[in-house]
Amino acid sequence: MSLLECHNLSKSFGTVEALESTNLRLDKGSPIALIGPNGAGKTTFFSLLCNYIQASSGDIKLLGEPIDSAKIQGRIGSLPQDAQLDRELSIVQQLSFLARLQGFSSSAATQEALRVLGLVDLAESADKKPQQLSHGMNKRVLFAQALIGDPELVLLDEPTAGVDPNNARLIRNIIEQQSHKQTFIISSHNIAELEKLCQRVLYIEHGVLQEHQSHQNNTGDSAVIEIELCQEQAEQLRQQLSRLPSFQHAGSRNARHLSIRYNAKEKGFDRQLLELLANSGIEYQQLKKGLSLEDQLFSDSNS
Amino acid sequence: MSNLHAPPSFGRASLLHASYDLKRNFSSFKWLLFGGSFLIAWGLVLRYVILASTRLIESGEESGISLLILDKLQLLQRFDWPSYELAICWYLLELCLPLLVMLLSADLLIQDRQARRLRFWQARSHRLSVVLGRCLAKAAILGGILAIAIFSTLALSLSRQSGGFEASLGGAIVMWLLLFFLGLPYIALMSLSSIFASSPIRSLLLAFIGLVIIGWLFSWLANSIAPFALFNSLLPGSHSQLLEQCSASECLPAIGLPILQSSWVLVLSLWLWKRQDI
Repeated sequence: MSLLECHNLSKSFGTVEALESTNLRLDKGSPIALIGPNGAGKTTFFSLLCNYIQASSGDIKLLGEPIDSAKIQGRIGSLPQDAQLDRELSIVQQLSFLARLQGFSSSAATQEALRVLGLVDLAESADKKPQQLSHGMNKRVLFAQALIGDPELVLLDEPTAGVDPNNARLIRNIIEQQSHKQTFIISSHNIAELEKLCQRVLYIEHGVLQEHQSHQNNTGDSAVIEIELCQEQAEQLRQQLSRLPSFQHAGSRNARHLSIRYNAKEKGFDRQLLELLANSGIEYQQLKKGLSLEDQLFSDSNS
Repeated sequence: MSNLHAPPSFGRASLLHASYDLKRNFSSFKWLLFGGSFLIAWGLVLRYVILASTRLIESGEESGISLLILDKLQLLQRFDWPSYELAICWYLLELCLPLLVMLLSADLLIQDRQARRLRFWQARSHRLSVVLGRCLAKAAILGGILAIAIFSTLALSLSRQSGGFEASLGGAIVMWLLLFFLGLPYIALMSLSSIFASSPIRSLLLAFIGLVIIGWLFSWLANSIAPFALFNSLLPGSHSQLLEQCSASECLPAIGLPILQSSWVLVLSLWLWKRQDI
């Protein structure tokens, strides 16, 4: 069964076409990133998937069913951006209510609410009201509600926005742990975070959505190694690399960074590079094989 | 499918939403303040309006205020309430009902939509079950308020032995039913106006202005083309003439009109809510 199918899906706001006609099919599996610059149409696409807004044309199927079908209710969890909890009721009351809407009995709903709060390390705050929690804790509660009933598909819009690094890591860990049984679609500006979590990428710009084909390691005969140096020695390293037979090209973002492209058919470039670094006394901070997602998407020099 | 729990039916989901809204209201300081204020205000009305007016009428003094009340009661007597207390209570509640219900229902879903909570609920239940649940919750609050007002008046009436127990109780129940059903179209109206408004105040204003404009339009149409007179009766609030023509014991069939009014306004509201971006 497919996870997501869009046929000629588009959305316009007045004369502005926020999402151009899109055809897409995705299967269940590893987490999917939804990436794009501000105003590209990310939130519009996310809102269409969640049925928050009506499409101008086309249709969407989630888990093989139309998005307004009763058959998918409770099988999809979502974290809307900037959503707020009720100030009048405690967190456990609100989450229990959501569980009851998914078919849990009264006592099972409370258990389920406590379970998901436990996942985000907030079981002890269950009886507190949202205004008694910090922004980051509220965000974790909102994330927890998306996991009620272990939905098959979880849609997250900026799940770690406004969350401190420690709690952002907690959320990432949960996504990693849960992704063997649930499929996540995550919309975020934080590409480094998405790169850690997602193996599949949807890229949207100017309302055009496309599935990004990863060329993380190889593009034809070429391969890429990214190196971050401890000192501003990128130019010095580039000159020395040019003597290596399999070296092709090196791009640089700054004086401490090099993106080295080499002939992938010839083995041993990695070893030669390490030897060169050791012999020339150039110290490195980070060595990474393959292009970062950010460079794949945005850097012309590496394309 | 990993979710082993069958989601509740549409009706059950509506009831869950209604009970959640009631629970939330009773946990809210704003609503507790409203409830407390209503109790105090109604206590004052009982003492200084209903009881005082009844005494004036019973004393037969032909003072200005007594004449005014009697003048009004000439209408009410046609309605045949078992005691003066209940007759005055009917008059006051019928007068205040539209404003009361519209105030109660002004924030039907607006703040939840603004805070994007509606999005949590719609992922788990049909959007229309949320709207319907809210209307049910407001109807329950309306029923409660009317019960407090009418049965406290009944207690006053019985304590003063103004009317027979059975007749007064029967009259009170009929009054509750009538006023309850007369209030429903205004809840449906607020569910409609809340689609277009971004705050409860705006929703209230929109409902008032809409009602006036559409009422004027329908009247103009009815004056121009006779069959359009039927449309007038479809507007919430156009029940008074019907009620004035019957006595308390015969007026229950009159609830058909507010039910009809509530139905078409609610259907229109649900149709629009289904197509609304949240």
